[in-house]
Amino acid sequence: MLYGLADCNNFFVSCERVFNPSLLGKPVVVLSNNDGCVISRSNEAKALGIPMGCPTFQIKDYTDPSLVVVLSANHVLYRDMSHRVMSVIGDSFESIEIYSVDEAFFRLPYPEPDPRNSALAADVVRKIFKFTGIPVSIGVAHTRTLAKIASHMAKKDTANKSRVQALTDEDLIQHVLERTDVSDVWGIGRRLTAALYSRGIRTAAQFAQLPPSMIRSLYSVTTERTLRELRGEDCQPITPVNMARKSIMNSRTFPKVFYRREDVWDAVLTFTEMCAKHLRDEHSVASFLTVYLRGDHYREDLPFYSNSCRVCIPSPSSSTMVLVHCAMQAFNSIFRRGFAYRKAGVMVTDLLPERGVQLNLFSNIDEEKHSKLMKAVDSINNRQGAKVVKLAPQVSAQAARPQKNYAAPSQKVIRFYSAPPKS
Amino acid sequence: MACVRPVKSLPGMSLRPLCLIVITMGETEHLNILRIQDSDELAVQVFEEHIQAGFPSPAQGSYPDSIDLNRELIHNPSSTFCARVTGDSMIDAGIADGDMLIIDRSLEPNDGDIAVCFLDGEFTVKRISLRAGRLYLVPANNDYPEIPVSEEANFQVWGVVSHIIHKTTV
Repeated sequence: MLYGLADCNNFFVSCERVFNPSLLGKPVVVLSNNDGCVISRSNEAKALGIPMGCPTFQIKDYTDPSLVVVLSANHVLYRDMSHRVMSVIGDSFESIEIYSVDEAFFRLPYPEPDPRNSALAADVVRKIFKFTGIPVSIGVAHTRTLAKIASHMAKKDTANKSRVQALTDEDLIQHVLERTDVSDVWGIGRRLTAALYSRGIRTAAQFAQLPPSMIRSLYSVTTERTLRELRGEDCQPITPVNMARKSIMNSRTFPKVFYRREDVWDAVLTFTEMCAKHLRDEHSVASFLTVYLRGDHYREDLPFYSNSCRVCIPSPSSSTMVLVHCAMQAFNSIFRRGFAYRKAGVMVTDLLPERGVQLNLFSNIDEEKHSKLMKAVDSINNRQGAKVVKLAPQVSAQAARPQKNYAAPSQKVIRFYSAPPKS
Repeated sequence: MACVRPVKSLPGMSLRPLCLIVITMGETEHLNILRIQDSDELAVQVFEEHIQAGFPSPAQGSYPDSIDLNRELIHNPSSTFCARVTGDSMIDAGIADGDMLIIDRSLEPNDGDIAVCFLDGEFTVKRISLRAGRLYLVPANNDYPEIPVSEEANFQVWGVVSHIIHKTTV
């Protein structure tokens, strides 16, 4: 079987350029929420040496800031464009797995290396660019880990006009792995890299030659899987659409530090509601919910505290009420008075499709009733274009609102009241 | 001539600003590109009979078909964008100030098509015309000159206008 990985080039910057073509050819960066740091860079910005994650105020350390176009993130736009890109891929290939906002795996129609695969992939690259204006690179290989490396090659190789790179030839794989740093392999993080470096393993080729059983006992099954994938063994059969998205996260750095429980909870509540809405939009339910809180690294005058808590949702759900209840449980177990909080986040994981969820025998939550209520709430909120109906404990969350304001004029908020679900 | 009557009072195509790019086209014109929300379906009954006046008798002909305006106007959701027009340079082509353009980027631009173009830092909506190997952007208003597109110009056809939503009442 052959996998393709479609990866949007400099996705957020590319989205901005679609609607402002005068940004083409200029160094452009897009900032994170609250304009904290750089999260997307055009090739020109990369060439100036601005690193990924560069704090906004440090751009001047790399180049004359007047040369760089600096933009606040517009995630509504990016999500819309991502949806368009993904639907073009979904129209062209079977078994698409949306891995992130700008990446998707898919299965190619011809299981063995075949020029028709590359031609099809090149056609999709052209189609995505024509339909949406977003440049995409595609890597093709027998495993996802290799497809990921191939897509990087396609992205880097500016002479390759088709933007498609196949990595199926044994000799080519060997040649490429010898020139790939082990830290650039998908799934090998910073800590693992350090451990491998200390053993003298620097390239992907060296790593691939290690005995899998040793890697498994030293590190983990996942690392072993990465190794086998580099050798061309497919270890992760493709999962159907929408199942693929393994987690949804909402988090934000607050514009200032918060001390009060109510302020931090406000933010967590808002993030939870956003997660729940997102789940429902995707017709998924979550099995776990994680809340995390963090202090301010840069304030040495304040005591630093950071913690997170994961809660298993007994019967996987997308109901705001169920999720808020879990979030409250997690929040209460980690919130400590007397610390300053700078960041909070909520993540829902182990997502499952809405249908086909195994019902929990011991759950006394009326899923059907919740689902109907949530549908009604969503339809009102969609129609009004803002969050008009909210859960009662969710008072206007100042902390959770992004600093920049695209918001429509203030609207009347209707609150609906509900007791927390019995568990 | 068709008589159109809504059968469901659902919000059909609600257009929300996606990224308010207000790009000035000349002194008086600009284009706002909007996001299309196509989650709701709005069935509208269509009476195919040609009618002179009044309502058709239910006894006449077959039961009317219904259409969904989203589906009628948007053939390829992933390549379709909306934009609201300000300015009157295309008034003779039926595009008035405040009209909504449906832009389908999947369509190949042809000679004579109305298209949203990007020329030297500005968005503009004009008819594209190919004459003697040269490209012109032709307005539909005698008060405006046609714009020749030079080889060196920073130019792209952003998308072909497939439909115009024009309000006939004030």
